[in-house]
Amino acid sequence: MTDEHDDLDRLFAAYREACPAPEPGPDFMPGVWRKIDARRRLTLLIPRWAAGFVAAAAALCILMGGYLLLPRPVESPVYTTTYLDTLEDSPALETLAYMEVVSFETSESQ
Amino acid sequence: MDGVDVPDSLVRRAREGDDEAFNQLVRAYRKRILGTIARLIGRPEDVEDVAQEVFVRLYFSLEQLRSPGVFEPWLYRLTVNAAYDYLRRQKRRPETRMADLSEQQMLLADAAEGARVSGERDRRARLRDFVQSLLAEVSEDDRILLTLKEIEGLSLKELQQIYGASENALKVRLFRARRRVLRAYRRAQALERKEVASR
Repeated sequence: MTDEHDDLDRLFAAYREACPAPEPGPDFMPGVWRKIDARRRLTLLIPRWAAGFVAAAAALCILMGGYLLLPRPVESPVYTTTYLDTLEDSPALETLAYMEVVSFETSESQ
Repeated sequence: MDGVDVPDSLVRRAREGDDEAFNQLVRAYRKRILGTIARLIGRPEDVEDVAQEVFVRLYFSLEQLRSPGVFEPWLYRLTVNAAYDYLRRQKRRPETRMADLSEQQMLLADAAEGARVSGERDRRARLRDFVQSLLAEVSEDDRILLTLKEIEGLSLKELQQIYGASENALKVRLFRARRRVLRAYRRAQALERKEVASR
């Protein structure tokens, strides 16, 4: 069991030797800075996009608020008669029912 | 960890935005990080790219570093995370076939194959493949942990700083991972013995 563990340790040590650290290429440092610059540009763009989006949303809100506040003509039906006139002209349901009941009772009693 | 002699003042200057200090830090650590990544990901063609990603992450996270004293574990944590991300991406990406390679890459692959012909390199390549096949028996997380401990030679204390986990939790993970690798090693040995006997 211990032998196996020792074998494994030796194998790992040999693996470490078989995988030496590669030499960095000549483009390593410029590559790092290119990537840093690219990410920097991106991080600068995001707040700009966010600010543009906020400005557009605020402008839209103002426009919609203005539209809602604009005075508009009220479209209402034109009445030529008063409420009392209308009531007087139309036979009330209660009156009709009362009349029917009265007439029914009258016929029963006869 | 084999110490890289970097003064705290250099880390402090880099943290304050001194690009020259940052360059010096990269120069001091790049070879070691390249080596660690090579052993963690096992793909020589992508090692430099992943190492660059580590230093880019370092550049943008340096200001979060509490004290220069914990710089090395911090850098190792970034290395481990970049290796994880790479391995995760590789899982999603289908294996590159020869038909997908550009002409230049084909030439490089041919050259690499040609170089392997020499005996010593061939032996090393077989050893690498063998150990990687053993390490493939454990999960990516445990493979990285085991590689850092057994191959990179990091101490438990250093691993604690990198992972932010308790010593016992790390010991248990390492023990289990090592046991699985050992089982795979036994299987491989048994297979080899069988092959030798059948010859």
